[in-house]
Amino acid sequence: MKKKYNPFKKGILTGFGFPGIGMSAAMFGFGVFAGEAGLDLYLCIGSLIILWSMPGMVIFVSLYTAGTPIFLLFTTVLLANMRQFFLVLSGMTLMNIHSHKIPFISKLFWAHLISPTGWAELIKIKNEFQEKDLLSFFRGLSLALITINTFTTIIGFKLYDILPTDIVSIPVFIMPLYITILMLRAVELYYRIAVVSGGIIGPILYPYIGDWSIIIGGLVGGTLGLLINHLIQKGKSDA
Amino acid sequence: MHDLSFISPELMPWFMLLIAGFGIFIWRILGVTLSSKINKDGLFAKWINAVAFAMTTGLMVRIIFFPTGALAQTNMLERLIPFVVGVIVFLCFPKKPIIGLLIGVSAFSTTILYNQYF
Repeated sequence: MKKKYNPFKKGILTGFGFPGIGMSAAMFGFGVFAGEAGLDLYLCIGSLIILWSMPGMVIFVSLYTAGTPIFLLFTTVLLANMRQFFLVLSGMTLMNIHSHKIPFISKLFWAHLISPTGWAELIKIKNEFQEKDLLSFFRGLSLALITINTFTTIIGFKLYDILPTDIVSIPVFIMPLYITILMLRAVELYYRIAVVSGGIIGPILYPYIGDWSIIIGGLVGGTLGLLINHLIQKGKSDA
Repeated sequence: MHDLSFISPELMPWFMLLIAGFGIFIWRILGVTLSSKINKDGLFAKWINAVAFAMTTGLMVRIIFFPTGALAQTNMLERLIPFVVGVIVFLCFPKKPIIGLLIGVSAFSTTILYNQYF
């Protein structure tokens, strides 16, 4: 019989399971990258905690070590992270965060910790718990993810000059495959259409418009999903 | 170079980090603020979720096609074939997603280790 955990504990166990392993493998790669770029360990950990977004972290390390002017650094990070808006909007709505009597600053704190991994786990778990318990689940998940990611970033940073890059790529491969599989598990037709079209449009546009491809791919894919679903439903009701 | 000479050199990296952090935080503040205005069962919430689904998948597929860091040291086919194999296995056994993940990662690891040592 499957054991039933409380939401917070379930979040911790989830965070230390495959989602945490996948995400922390990417952070391990980031630790290696930051070590190679010449960052000190505190700044490396600081960028993990303060930015909590892989594109933001990679951009920060690349541009900072290249001596990029501050305005260009800010603008690049800002434009490359618009997707955070949609993830936070979706994650906050899923948890119905405004039904919880917590200060706005706490809401911002939990919003800060929404990553593709955290959001994908919320989507996966949303039918297992009541809506009011999702925040508790997310707290446990975030605690586990912060712990495991800090640990593996430090390990990556310390091992950057020892491990062959090819070997480092193995754990880094886990996250894209794991999250793609999670996305494909969506039950609703419009989400499935969105997943397939976003997965095709984003990478096709990337060589031409860079990070904007993910935003454009997301907007087109999401809209296409709802539109096709609407047409199918309309066709069924007309028939 | 950085032209903010009034900040001490030891604090400069942290100042730059906070500026970068602010660039991301703007979107998060906007997300939290606007989420209070959305009916979670409405069409707009569905659209936002669909966009997030599409964006997240796009980002993950992009990592396979245009990786940075350690993954960028591998060949496109070394990444793409195990990724597709993992997804196909998942589609064959959708109730056991772990099988697709394990087979995909195993295929990638085997390819990398084979190329590294043989």
